[in-house]
Amino acid sequence: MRIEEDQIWSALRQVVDPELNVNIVDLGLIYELNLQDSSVRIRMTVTSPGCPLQDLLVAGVYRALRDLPGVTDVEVEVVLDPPWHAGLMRSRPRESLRHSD
Amino acid sequence: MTPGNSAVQAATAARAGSVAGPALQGSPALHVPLRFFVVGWLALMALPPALLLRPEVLTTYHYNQYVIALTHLEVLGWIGSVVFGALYQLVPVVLQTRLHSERLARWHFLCHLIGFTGMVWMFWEWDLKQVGHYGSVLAFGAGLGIYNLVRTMARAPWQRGVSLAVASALFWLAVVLAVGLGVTAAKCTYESAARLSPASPLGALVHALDATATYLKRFDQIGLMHAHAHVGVVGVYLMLLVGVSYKLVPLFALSPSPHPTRSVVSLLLLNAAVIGSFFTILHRSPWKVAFAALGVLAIGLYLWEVLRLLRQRRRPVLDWPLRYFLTGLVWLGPVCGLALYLSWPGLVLTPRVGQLENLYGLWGLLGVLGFCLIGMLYKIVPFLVWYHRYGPWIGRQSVPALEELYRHGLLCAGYVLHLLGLVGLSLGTLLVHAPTVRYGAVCLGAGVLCHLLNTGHILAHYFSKNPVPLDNAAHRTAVP
Repeated sequence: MRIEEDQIWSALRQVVDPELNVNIVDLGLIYELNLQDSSVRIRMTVTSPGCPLQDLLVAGVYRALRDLPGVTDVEVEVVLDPPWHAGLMRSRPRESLRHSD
Repeated sequence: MTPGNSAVQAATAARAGSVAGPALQGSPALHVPLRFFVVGWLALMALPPALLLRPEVLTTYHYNQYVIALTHLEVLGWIGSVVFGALYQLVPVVLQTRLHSERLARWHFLCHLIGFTGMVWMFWEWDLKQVGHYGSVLAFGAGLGIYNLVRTMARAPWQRGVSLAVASALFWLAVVLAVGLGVTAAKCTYESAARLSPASPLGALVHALDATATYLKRFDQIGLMHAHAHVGVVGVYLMLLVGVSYKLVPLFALSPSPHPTRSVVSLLLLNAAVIGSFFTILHRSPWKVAFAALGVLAIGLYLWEVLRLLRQRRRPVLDWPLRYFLTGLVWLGPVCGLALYLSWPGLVLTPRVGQLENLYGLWGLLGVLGFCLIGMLYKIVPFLVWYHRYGPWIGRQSVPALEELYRHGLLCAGYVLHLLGLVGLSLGTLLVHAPTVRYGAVCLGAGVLCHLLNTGHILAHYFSKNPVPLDNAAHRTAVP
């Protein structure tokens, strides 16, 4: 069964940063997605170095992707360079943070 | 880079459908910090009824048994419990290592609970020999805590800001415990010293206590008490507040890292201020104003840095827990002003100056530390519960956000009532008016009750039903 890139992005949106209440795709944490046959390679970051959620978000990515039919191998790399900044967020999440009250 | 062990554990737990939480990068089990936090809240809750019962603790000079009992209830029971719970949780996480021993932390908790409750009770009864006994239990527990945290820190690379702050605070904690036990020893008499030989273990102890009492009695007793209090509150609690917030404010406000030189210099200046203030307060030296100014300079540098971090933050709207915390930092302004005034050379102790000294303590404990700690508890406790309850389900089930674990209305009501309570207590203190103190105590009690209810809501999530499965649709703020 062949997996489409859109399905990967959809699955990644199920991983939500609980502090900001925004999913990691819209938050701009995913730097790179590589799909080769049934193998997925993700390059991602976290909002701050030493973020205590890092391990959970990575585990969430593994879980979300391994549940997809057609995915056999998942590799996640966390990088801090380039550092995350608000400009990487999609417009709607940025607005939701602006009006989070 | 492959995920760490805990990430793998989290994934495994979720696959197996387990509700047991993953290990959070070396932090202890949930109950280790949580029991300290619960005891802390209960100790804070005990303050308003005590103020209703005896409002004169704020309307008269503070050198009496009830003021000393209630001060220790807050300083050890409320602030001390929360600070130790937070240290056991944050030090391993921030330094990315494991806590040296959970067992020692459990023994520490037991000694802490027995020690501070006994001390408060015996201060209230003014039985200083028993204060010494309970104080020794507390000090033994704190010694275990210091050893545990030092061994934990020794496992990890030195991180300039946080490591310096925690190491300094642990050193000052050892000093304040030794001085506190010394002050208690100095208030007791040792008739049995004449009968016991210094060669026996018990005799050696009694002779050592007698010698300590003889030595400390040469100092002015109020100066000794004030020096002891400053080492504890500034050296331990303010030091930790400054050091830890250099790490937490950027994390929660999405700010860049603090300036390395400015953050370290502020901590070094604060250490210098604690050393100088201790000796100048003890000797009632006119130089104490110089060290108070040094402390104010350190705090000014810290506040400037926090302001810079907030200006550069990437989270436009600050949430209520962070606002709660920042309100505590605002209280640092009036506290610093009073510190300079009260340490002014030649200031005569009049009834008005005595009331200002009460106000200084009140603002420091319930203003600065009270607001900062409650703000941070609203970050730490929901995170801990969320991590253990919902962490294993992230990416597979719909999980709540941290702010959804508590009632927003209760938090805001608690904030307003806390503020009103502090204003009432301050006015009652300044006007020497017991009914106003009682009004403030009622407001404060209602505020603390709101926070206790909210803490109950947060903890209830730990026992809630499993989260519902996600559908495959895009989730939370997805862009069309």
